[in-house]
Amino acid sequence: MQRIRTVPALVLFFFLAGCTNALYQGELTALDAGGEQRDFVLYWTRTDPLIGKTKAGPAVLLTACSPTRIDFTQQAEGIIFRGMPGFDRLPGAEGTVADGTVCGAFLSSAPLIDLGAGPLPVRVDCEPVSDEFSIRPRNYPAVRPEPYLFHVVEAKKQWSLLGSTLPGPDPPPCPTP
Amino acid sequence: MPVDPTKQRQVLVVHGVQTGTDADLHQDALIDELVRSRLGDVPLDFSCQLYRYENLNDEALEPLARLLDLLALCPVGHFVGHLALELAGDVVISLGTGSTAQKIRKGLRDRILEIYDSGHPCYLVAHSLGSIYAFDVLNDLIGRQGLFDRTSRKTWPVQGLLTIGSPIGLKMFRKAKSRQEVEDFGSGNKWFRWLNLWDPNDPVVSGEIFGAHLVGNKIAENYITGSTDQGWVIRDQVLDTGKQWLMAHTAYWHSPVVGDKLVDMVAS
Repeated sequence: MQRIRTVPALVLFFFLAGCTNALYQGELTALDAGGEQRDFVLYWTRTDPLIGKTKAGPAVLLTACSPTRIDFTQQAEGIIFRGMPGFDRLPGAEGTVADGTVCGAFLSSAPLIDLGAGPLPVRVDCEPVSDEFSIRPRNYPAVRPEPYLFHVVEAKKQWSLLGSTLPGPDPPPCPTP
Repeated sequence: MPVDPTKQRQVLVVHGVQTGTDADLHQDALIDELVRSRLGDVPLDFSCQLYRYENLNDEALEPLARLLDLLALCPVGHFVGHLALELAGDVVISLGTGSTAQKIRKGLRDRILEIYDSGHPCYLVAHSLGSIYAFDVLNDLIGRQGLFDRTSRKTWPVQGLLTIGSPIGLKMFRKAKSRQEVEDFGSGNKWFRWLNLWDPNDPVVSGEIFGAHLVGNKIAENYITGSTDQGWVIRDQVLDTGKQWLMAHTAYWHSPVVGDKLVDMVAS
């Protein structure tokens, strides 16, 4: 009798808590905001539960030699990098951006929860701004007319009963001079 | 004494609802490990410390615990009763304006000002209920004369706030008058950052016991007024912790995104 009750309870728990976790990442080398050749890594995770809705993100962009980590999040305008007043500016502008300014975007019509492996064009519209509290100049890819193309791969995918918090990719190393 | 940006940065962690005592809490070590794992070769000099207040909560709940001892006759009832009392009791204390909540806020305020007086830049990381105390204390400090001059970050006792799994969007916490808006910084061109990370299935964020999936909800961003004098950059960010329901609420400590966003905040 005990077993009859335990088995359905375990099955129910399995369906409620089990999920597939995936890590997506893409890398490229390009000019940074300071005009140096740098490596960049873009990554995000996605969780598909057995029951319930998929969740994903944010997508984080890592820049070699820099502590700056910008993020692309799902907003009404698409998957965008929202600039911060005091920390980002539009090219040629005197002051920093107004709150809510779009400083970059994934050029994809799919929402983040549906994005997977494949080429991903990413636009960057702003420049980073630093102040006396920046241990290194804030940095991310330079503004340019054509989008950056990341070749995104599914770096990891695993199923687990309780879900997993996947570790992110290592930040790209800074080249030794 | 102004803050010196060349000094070691202090990450002050404020824990949330807990069981056990202060001695059982080590979230500062978790944050330290997480940030170091995301630094790469960036030479960030920082250290983490934890503001512990669980003993204050336990002290305040002691009379109720004794009453429960009398009422709970079986060992299972005793265990469950005490667990529920510890968890719910912490929340009830934070909602009130009683002496325990005041002691907790005063302790946190004193710790922040100690760091400030030593000239170290301070960054707050607050989890769950801890975000309520962090918000209250920060808002109170911003309203004080002589601190948080918007034109100079060196006058700021706190340089940035990161909240994770915060219930601050729930009505029960928002109805307090002191929590209905953030204090304005006044005119100037420096901006204070508040990043609020939350998992869509986190039941403490949604208030839904079964972890209903929140989509597109504004939580911290409800505080944005659009006034140029506000001086806050407030961001809500949905975070996939990889876990479901209550496990999502405790998974932030291991999320690489939390680590990356902290590296970004503390280093700039």
